Amino acid sequence: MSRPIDTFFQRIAQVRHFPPVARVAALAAGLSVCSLDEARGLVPELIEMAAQVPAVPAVPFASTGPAVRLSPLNWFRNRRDATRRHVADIALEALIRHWDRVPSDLVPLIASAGRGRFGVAAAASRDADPAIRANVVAAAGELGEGQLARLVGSMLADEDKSVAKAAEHALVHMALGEFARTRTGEACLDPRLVEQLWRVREAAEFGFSRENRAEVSAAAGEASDQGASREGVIDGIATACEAFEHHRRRGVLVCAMLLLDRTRLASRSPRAAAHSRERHAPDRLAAWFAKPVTDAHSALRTVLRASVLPVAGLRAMEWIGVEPWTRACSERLSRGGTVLEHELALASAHLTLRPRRRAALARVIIKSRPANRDTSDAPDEPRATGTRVLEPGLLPDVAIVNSLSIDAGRGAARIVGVVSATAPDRELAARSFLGHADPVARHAVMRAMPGSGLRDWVFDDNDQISAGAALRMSRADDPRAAEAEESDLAWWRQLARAPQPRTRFLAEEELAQRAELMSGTVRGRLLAARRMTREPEGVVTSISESLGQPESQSGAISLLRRLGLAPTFQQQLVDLALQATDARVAATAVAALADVSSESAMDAAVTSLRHTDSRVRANAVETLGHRARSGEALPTQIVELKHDAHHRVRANALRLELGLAPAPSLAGELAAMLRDERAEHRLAGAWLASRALGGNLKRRLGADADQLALRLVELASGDPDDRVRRRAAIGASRVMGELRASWRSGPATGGTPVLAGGPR
Amino acid sequence: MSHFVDLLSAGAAAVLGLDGTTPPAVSIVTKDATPAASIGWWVLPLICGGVGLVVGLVWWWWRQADALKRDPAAWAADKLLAKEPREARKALRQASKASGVPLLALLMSPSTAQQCMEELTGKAG
Repeated sequence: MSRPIDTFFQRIAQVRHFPPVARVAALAAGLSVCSLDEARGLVPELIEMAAQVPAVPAVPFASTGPAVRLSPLNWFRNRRDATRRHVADIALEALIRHWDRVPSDLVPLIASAGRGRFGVAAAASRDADPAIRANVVAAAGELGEGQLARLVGSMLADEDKSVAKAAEHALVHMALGEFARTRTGEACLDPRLVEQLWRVREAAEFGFSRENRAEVSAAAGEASDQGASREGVIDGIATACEAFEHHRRRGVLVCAMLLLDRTRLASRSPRAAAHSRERHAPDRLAAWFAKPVTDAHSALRTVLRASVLPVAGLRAMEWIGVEPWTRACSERLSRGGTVLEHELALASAHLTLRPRRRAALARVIIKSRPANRDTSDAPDEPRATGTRVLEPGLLPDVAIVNSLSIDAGRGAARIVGVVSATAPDRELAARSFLGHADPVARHAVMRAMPGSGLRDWVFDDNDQISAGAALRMSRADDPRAAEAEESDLAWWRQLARAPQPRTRFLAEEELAQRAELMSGTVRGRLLAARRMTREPEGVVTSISESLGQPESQSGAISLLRRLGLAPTFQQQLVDLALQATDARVAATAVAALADVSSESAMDAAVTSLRHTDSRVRANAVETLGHRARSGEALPTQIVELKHDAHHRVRANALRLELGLAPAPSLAGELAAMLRDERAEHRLAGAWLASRALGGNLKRRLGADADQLALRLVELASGDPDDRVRRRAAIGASRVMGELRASWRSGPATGGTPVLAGGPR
Repeated sequence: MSHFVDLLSAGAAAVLGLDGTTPPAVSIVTKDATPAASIGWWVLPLICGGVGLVVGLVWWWWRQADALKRDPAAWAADKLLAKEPREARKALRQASKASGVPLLALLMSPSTAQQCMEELTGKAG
């Protein structure tokens, strides 16, 4: 009489006495319908049986295996091992078939027990029961095993839509696990950035939530490092990609995008194969990617354009040099993205060193738009005129730039010089880096800037950046640099007071080679003359402005006389002649009035004859003399100035009268100057005599000229003042030269010996 | 030809009625020509019975192994069901048939078996 079995655990104890195959069958049958509490008793039993697999595979006659002597003992041993392996496999298959009953805390045990043997689920993946197939998919997603991935890759076209969708989710999960093991994946799963990854639409679409992100991280850390498992995942995804025309599941393309990094693509290149010491199996996923002729590749381009996964930006940066992905990658990069996407893409900016990739990136255009467009909360708020902001694109906004890592910041700086943009837009993009903490990034942006946008960078705190910008702005190699605008010069003058010594030195050097319009130098006048032919309005404006500034009035008056612009500035000259507080400016203005033939100019010159400053009076005399030679009447006030206390005024007045109406009295005046006790007067007299005793004037003076010549000789030989002697000697040699010339010409010329009657 | 063969042939002839005489006594002669003791007529059935028993045991073992190999689940179900009382066996079979759950699954999961039987009882009620 048998006794009924009361408890579940008594039943399990009873089953333990069964043959292994029957024991597995009983446990599997129980697991298919049991409750969760019962599952906690059944699953460990099955795991125990799944783990009891012989250490050495039972392949006694395999050609590649070790030579095993055929003996009855070995026969029995191999048969026993084969049986054990069979039992372990069916136990493992039973666990996968009923995966929905397996407690989650026992999953790592199963992963460990069945490592490398999950191919036993092949039959289960083709089971007629959709629940069994779904369990295979779920197990694959949680275990991340390569052999299961191969099975799942072929289940995307399952007739049951839920199974196919679950298979898609599992593949994405496994791909994320693989991706998390890469360096990029580590960055994406960084706690600082992981929130963004799981917040994206794809994560929700493929069944992931914030709760299971830890599973991916754990799977990334604990998953086997065996190459076979990883290759299995890749093969599974490749299988799914190759069959895309049949299942049309977009998730597999996301998987391909996640895993097709540049390392994987480069491993397929002939160069990599030639340098590789190990013989790797061909990467099916890379091979599929290399032949982009199917609809799946078109769909992958769409995924690349539209995906909100941050890694899409990185892949766009990596694939942009490969046709036919260039266009899609350019569009992706032009679209912009989150902080994480900018971080990933810009940290890979060193990829632009490859010429093909750089050429493709050069077609990415950076644009700007007016600020406050479509972003202002208050519609009535006035827009800031002239303010522009960057449109979302490859280059981030200021707020994002400051949150990037050092690598990404430097990458962004490198990108500034690669992409296409107008000079203002590039300048706008570079402005985001003005306050960047990394001087290397700032320096890179400075180097990428066109010449027009460098002024901001010269004032950088860093000495090297400031000096670098100043060097780039320097026009030392430009032969027309002298034609710099006044504003440019003013800017360089401001820079010459920069706190950085190197920048200050460069600015001073730059200023030294640039002539100023009002400097009064030959280069300045040449510069003004050239500019006058090119843009006369600008020169007139510049002179007019300079006339209003006391420190540059004198130079401006000189320049306008050189350029023949005195009539244009007639009123300003008259005002300066009469009202200038600086005597030097007034004297210059009075001299410039000589070029102006107007009543007011004449009146101003006459008024200036009574000026307190001798230079003004002297110039007024010269101006009036110039006007008199042009046919205008000489004012009578000139006569009074023959006895002026200043030697120059006196000489000018005397010379003017000598030129207009020579008379014997004037010779007496000149002789008086030569005999004046004041050295300056004698000097001026010697200067005047050297001119008065030549040409027609000498003939007009007649015999007085001889007396004057004798006096000149006396001064040259015996005047106590050295300057007077030198000047008198010059005048005397000039007179003697003319005398010899008259002797050579003889009486036929009608010349009269100058010193006739004098000692020979 | 040995004496044992002679004995077998004679026995066979007697059984088939070819001879019509009683089985002769058989003398087993040893090698050294010493006459052996004579064997009674019950020896032959005794040997055949023993052989049959052995063959039967082998056949039973082979059948069990074959059943286990063919369908381990059915084998296990039979074994587990044999432990149950008669009433329980009947109820479990009915519950399995009614619910579509395999009998072995009900045997291995008491909670499920209880649930199925309650459903069955409820339907009957």
